[in-house]
Amino acid sequence: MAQTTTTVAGGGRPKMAAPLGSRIHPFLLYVRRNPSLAWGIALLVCLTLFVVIGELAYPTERFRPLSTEVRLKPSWEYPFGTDTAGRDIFAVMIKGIPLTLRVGVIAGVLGLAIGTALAFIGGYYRGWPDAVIRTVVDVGLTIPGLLILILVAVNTQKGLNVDTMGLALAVVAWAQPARVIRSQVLVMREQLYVEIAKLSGVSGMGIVFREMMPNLMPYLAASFVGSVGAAILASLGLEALGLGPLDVPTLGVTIYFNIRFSSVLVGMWWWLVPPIAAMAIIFVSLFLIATGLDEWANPRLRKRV
Amino acid sequence: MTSNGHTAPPLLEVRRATKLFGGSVFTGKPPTVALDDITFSIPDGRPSITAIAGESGSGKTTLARMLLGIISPTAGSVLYRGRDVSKMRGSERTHFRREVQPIFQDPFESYNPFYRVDHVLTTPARNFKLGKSKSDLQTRVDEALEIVGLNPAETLGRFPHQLSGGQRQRVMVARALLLRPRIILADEPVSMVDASLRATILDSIRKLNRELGISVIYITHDLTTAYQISDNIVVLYRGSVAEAGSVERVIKDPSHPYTQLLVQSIPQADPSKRWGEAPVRGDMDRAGPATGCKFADRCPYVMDVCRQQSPPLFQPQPNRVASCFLLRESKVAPSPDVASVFDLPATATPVFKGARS
Amino acid sequence: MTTAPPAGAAPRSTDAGAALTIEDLKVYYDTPEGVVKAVDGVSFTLKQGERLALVGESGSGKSTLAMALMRLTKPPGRIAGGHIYTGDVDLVALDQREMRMRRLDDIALVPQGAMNSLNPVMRVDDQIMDGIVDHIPDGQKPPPKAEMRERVRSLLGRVGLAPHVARMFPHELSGGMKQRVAMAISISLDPKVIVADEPTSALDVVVQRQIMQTLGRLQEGLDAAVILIGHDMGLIAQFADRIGVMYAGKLVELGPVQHIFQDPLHPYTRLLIDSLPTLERKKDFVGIPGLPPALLNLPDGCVFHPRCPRFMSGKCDIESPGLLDARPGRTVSCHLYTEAHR
Repeated sequence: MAQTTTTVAGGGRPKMAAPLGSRIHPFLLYVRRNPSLAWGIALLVCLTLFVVIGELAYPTERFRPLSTEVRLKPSWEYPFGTDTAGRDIFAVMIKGIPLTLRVGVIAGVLGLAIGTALAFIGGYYRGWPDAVIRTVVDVGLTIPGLLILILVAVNTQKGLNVDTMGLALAVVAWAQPARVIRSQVLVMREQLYVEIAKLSGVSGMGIVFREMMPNLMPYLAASFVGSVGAAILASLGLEALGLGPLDVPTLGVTIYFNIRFSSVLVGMWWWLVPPIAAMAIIFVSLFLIATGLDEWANPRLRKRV
Repeated sequence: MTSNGHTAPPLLEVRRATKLFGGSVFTGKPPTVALDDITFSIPDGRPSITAIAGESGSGKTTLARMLLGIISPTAGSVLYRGRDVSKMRGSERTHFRREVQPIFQDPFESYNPFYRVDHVLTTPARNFKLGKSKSDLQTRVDEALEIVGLNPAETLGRFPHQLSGGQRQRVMVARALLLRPRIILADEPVSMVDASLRATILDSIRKLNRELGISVIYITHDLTTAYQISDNIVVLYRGSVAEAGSVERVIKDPSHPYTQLLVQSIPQADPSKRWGEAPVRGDMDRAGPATGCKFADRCPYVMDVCRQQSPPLFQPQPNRVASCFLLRESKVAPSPDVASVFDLPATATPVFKGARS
Repeated sequence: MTTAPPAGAAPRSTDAGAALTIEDLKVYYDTPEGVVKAVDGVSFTLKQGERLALVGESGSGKSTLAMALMRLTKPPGRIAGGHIYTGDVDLVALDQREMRMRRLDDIALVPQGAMNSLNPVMRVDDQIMDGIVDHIPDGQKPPPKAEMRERVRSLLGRVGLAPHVARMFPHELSGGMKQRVAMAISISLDPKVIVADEPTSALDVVVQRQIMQTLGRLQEGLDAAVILIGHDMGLIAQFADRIGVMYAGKLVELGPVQHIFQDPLHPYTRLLIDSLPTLERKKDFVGIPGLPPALLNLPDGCVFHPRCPRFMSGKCDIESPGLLDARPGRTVSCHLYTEAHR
């Protein structure tokens, strides 16, 4: 009777599911071959660096109104100039970008969590729960999200802050992930390895979490990125209409003030360009990441092996 | 009941099982009959290898899934040790699951690509509580892999795509071995594996039967390997039994015209034994005849009675039955259970060795 | 065929009477882990009207070779060397446009899983006519519709399909019928060479026999040569005139079908034949020990030596045997058959 193999230093057999460390390296190798994903992540990293270094190295409390002289053009002291209320626009960017991203992430995470839960319940168990969920999702997708958000924003007594806006956006963000993930679950439950797991005594929840969920990672990630992007876009829409938290320097609120105070007409281009550029970078990076994840999820799209 | 003198209920049994799929009240499309009133049992105590052969549309895959308890019959029942499988719950059902295990056809799809191959071995081991301790389990796993000819050090810890199809399939056999089921349902276990590796895998399956006393149901469309590995065979056509019995008898001297057609169509690996040029009639694409013998539209010996009535199972020899009116001079089989005419191996085969032995 | 001519020699035109001459063909795949030599220097001649079977297991390179013959190799694969002569033309040297004209007209493919290679949204006759129309030389008008329909009908008849199939969609057909449609497309321009890559892989045994017999009839009718790619030795025994055995990208043996089965020369061929189950009598299962080689890391010398029962240390693990004429009409790639060992 053979003895087990010699143990590798630092541990015996490798664990059944590879520990995170051993998965990161192949992932990084893959990222190198996937230019979309690589550039998307790179852009986000640049933004993050901008915010982090800025927070450390710059007097960011100047994002508040009346911190400086008004309507100054960009200069060494004020790299992006100042606006009509005396805000240092550079500071506004450093403060505003993470806030905008936060709204998106809150809405994205919540939307994904709710959507995935519903997708699994409906897609795996089928029957009447699925019929109900399917109907609710289909109806939910047809109602214009912005309309709901405007109604919510208008009717909230205290007004929205960043976090409550994230929650409100989650209310409309769950429908799309639910639909996408559900169709993947429908496919996955017919896989042979799921059948074998059932015959190996694995329970329903076990199948969902241990067998199906790990293989859904690409779809979950892609849905997440999509939700985040959609949420940020919706939040920008709300804020630009003036329904956002006006005391918080998010990108959308900054745009609102640009519109309100006609920055273009008075020639204050330095006030308009940074938020728009930041938005562009955010959306481009999210799009690139989504495209990259799409290729990961669907190996047939891979152009380079 | 079976007529081979056993008092214990059969290990696994389908009784008058019928399975219908599809069909719709709205469109008026009739349902497909995948299985039609099949009765077939596997006795307890005399482990043997039974082949279930047929082409696509024969119902063999449906029968396999029914025996595994994955689907339920539309009519009739599936019994495990006398108890109805569809009514089993809780620990009884777990017990059944443990004792009837599959080896599927596709050695790639059987594996969850996220996990290493160890996953298919450890998951059931954990759920069925095999092994008294972690190291005991490890030993059993290593043993099982070695019996099928794999080196544990080179196999465990790998991802499925890092192993060849033959290796993956062998791990599946090792998994079955590990669980020490009473019955293994092997559904085309070697059809997707290279020729040179098939022999090794079939050899392992035969070892499971001869040395560990596990009964095997070998489902295939390949009559040659069915002949080599099994003791008895059931030939299905459109959900019904065309012919069944000892594999030597049925393959070497087929009575049913469909079995004859199948045997003639086997491409033999001998250039001096080429197929006859006689063109083959018809195919399974269009639905078969609505009444009478299902093979009537393709049978070279068809008679009027074949179109009017469905032939019963005749028993021309003690170890064969066939449902064909050409045999109408012979007696009708007394038992609908085709296994009643099976040749079982001599009693020298070992008694079943459970996992706890 | 003896070993390839030295590099730099002027390309030879094909032997008279040969439908296809493959000379030292190499197809490599560029992967992140390295270069995979899927086909590594294969040479053989296909005679007119001949049925040649290429048999091998997974990783042998047979399907890659089939695709390369049609110049359908997809990146990251590429033809890394060698020639494919038909007539005086080297298919490897043609550009895409010229190859497109030759494809279907001179050399046609019945692909593996042909059932899935039919366009699901086009009717059968449209798909057949598609290929024909595409090969009409520029400037010429396509023949009138009625003539085309007649041609489609006659093609369907030759593969054993009823005329009404022409207006059907692929999903309405069975596996066998779809395969016949694929064969009809492949013969639509009367090619001289048909490459059939596992044409019956997903089909039942009775349908398989019908399809192979149809293929045989088509071949005789056209006096075309067929290269049958497969792994089912039984099927090949029933159909082929000559067999080429491939292993790890190399052609290890080539000879007439009866000789290969009765007296295999290469140890791999012998093991393969011995492992085949028969209906004669029950016997023990005999496999081939070891594993097929990893194509990224081929062994030195002869690719089969790690698994070879006749392995000769010092020779087989160092030097790769070329293709040798062991007997008249039979070539083997094995050191057992060099002059010193005969």
